[in-house]
Amino acid sequence: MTVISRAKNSLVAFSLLSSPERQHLPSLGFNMTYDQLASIANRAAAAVILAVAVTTPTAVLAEGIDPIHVRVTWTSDPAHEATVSWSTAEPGQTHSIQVRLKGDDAAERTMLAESGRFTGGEPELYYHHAQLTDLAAASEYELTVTSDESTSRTYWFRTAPADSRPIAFLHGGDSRSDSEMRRQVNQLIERLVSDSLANEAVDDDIIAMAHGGDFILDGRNLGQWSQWLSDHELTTSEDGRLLPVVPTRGNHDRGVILNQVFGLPDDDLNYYAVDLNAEVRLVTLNSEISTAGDQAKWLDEELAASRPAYDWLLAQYHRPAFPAVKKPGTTLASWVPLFEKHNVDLVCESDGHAIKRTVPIRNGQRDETGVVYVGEGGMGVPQRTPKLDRWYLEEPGFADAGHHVFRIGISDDQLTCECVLLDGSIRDQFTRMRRPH
Amino acid sequence: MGGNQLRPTAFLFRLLSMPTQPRPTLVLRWVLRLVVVLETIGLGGRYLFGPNETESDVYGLLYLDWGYAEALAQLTDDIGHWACLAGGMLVLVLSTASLGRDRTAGAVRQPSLIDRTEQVASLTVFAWFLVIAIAHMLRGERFAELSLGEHAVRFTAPLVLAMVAGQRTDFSATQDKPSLAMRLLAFAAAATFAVHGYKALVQYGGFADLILLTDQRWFHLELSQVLTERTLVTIGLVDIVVAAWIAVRFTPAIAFYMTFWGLLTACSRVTAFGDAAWPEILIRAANYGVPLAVGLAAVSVRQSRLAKDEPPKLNATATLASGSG
Repeated sequence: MTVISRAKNSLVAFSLLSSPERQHLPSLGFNMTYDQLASIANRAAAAVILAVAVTTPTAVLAEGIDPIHVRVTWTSDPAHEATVSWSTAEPGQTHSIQVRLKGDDAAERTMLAESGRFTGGEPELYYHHAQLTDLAAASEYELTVTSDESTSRTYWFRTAPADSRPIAFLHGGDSRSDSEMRRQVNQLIERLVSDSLANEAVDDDIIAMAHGGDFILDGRNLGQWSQWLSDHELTTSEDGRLLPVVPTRGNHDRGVILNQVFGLPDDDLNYYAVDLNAEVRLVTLNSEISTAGDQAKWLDEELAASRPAYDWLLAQYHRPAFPAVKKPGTTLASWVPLFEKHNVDLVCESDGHAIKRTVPIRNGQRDETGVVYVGEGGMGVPQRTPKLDRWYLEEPGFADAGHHVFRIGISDDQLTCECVLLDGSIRDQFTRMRRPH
Repeated sequence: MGGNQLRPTAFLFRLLSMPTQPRPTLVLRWVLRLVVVLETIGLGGRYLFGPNETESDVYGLLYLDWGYAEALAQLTDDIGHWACLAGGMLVLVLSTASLGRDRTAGAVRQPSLIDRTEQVASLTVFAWFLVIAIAHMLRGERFAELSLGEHAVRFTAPLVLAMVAGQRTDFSATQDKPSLAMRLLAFAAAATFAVHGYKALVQYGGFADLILLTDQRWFHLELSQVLTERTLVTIGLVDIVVAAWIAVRFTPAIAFYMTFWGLLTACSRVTAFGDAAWPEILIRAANYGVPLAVGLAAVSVRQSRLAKDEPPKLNATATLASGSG
């Protein structure tokens, strides 16, 4: 609900309580008329309403049918497919996307979007998703989205490569709870991506943002999601470059809105795998459902099929198996044995609100052939002091606190992982060499 | 006793002192003492000295959600945990000290300084477990709104212990109906089982993992997720039925079943996750201890009722004098 609509409501309340019919009501029994009482009540109610309106973060200053919250999601084949989504404050009649290869106006295609209203009550907000397919790999696509007569500015995004060229992507989580800090992190992300694309080196080009979950505080609160979507627009560059998101479900992302935000079916289980290039496979898991049943079976099969086919296997999920602050989730028992069995190269975790990099771990102890876990969520939430006495965080492991994202670059036979703080400085950096097949 | 007490304290003590309660209350008291000691040790293990010690939702609420300084949130959390643990250990010490007294004190015993101290210790434990439950409820995670019901046994056990610790004990009296203490404990057990039953009915993934991981580590039956989830539905229905039953009828068999099931599910944390999860068995002591207290007290009430209804037994001398036989 906007500030303007809240103010309108208070004026309506004033008028209703001032109707002349109320003069025929019986006496209140003390020295005050109904109108006097209503006047006091109105002023009190209006004061409360306006106080709430000005102190509550404004969800979205959207009016009418203008497209906002334009975003790209990767959950299937980033080289050839993408979901482009946007929101409107009114349902509208027709919603479509116009997309073309950058610089090739003749090849523009138009397709209709799937639309619906976000659940969760206020604000009134509608989603529109266009599932793009048959895209060319490693190519830049321009797009505009249209809702009725309102067309957005021109945006563009780059598809993932289908060959084994070097790539980089960002990982982070827990953007909830502090909108101001979240915006600063998003501005950092925009700078990192823009700088990577602007320099002459191509092997550091950032192609996506893998989000480890806990986008907002209460996943059923559409106002919070709307605020997140507005803040996410800060990752879009001035020239309209959109950064694709690879989303994860966190423990605060309860309910269906997450799936509605990212163009997934309402009953989607939120675990899947994508190729970031021909040699890098990123598996996204859902720690908020059963981790030991069907998901573990799927993970075992996925890793068994992927390990011989890819040079690099990475995983991301929310609740850490080797936490810097909390106690281990079921992921420790359910997935860590599989990561070790299939020699996963790097695991990205969130939830702890700290910075951590474990030593390489295998069979519950340090082992240079083991798996490294990084995390744990610093994209906005207040940071916690890590527990440095946990064995897997002792040197050469690392732990700290601070808002951050991880920049993960993969080229040829080396993976480089940097923890980038809000001021752009590198707090931690390490490399992993490609495992021999 | 109350001559040098502050007025509010005296009022609180009068509020928590029950009318005369006989032997079933002693049963309750001893079981609840054990529950409080165990659950505070479990709390200490989870939040203070266990291998995976962490902070509670009180810390999370104060720092992450309400924006207070981390140091203040941490201090508040630590003080609460240590006070709660100290309360539990005081209950342990006082229980040991009261062993001889209960047996030799005679027919009627007024609350002593030890009893009053046990009240304060128990109320400390009650307060902190209640605060933790409220903090969890206020945070945005799944099932958070059910927190008070889910944690009901944990904070009700020390509350009832405080109530019974403050009462005058009449060893000679009989009791043929459940006390208020029993009713409170039964309602708490019903609430906890009802919430767990609901979570099982909706096939909560965490519960499924307890079964699946236990099977993978110990039994190797290769249970499928589908079968596990169907089993959870059955478990949930049973939980809700026994919860409704115990709330209105203090049937010992039902209470003892709940004791067994509460202990089994508490132990499943270790069978699923390993030895490092031991605090999770102890912090759930009320899940099995409260139904046990209700069951034993119900048995004691029944025995009292039967003893009251039986005709007086004739001794051998009276039989010969009457010329019978």
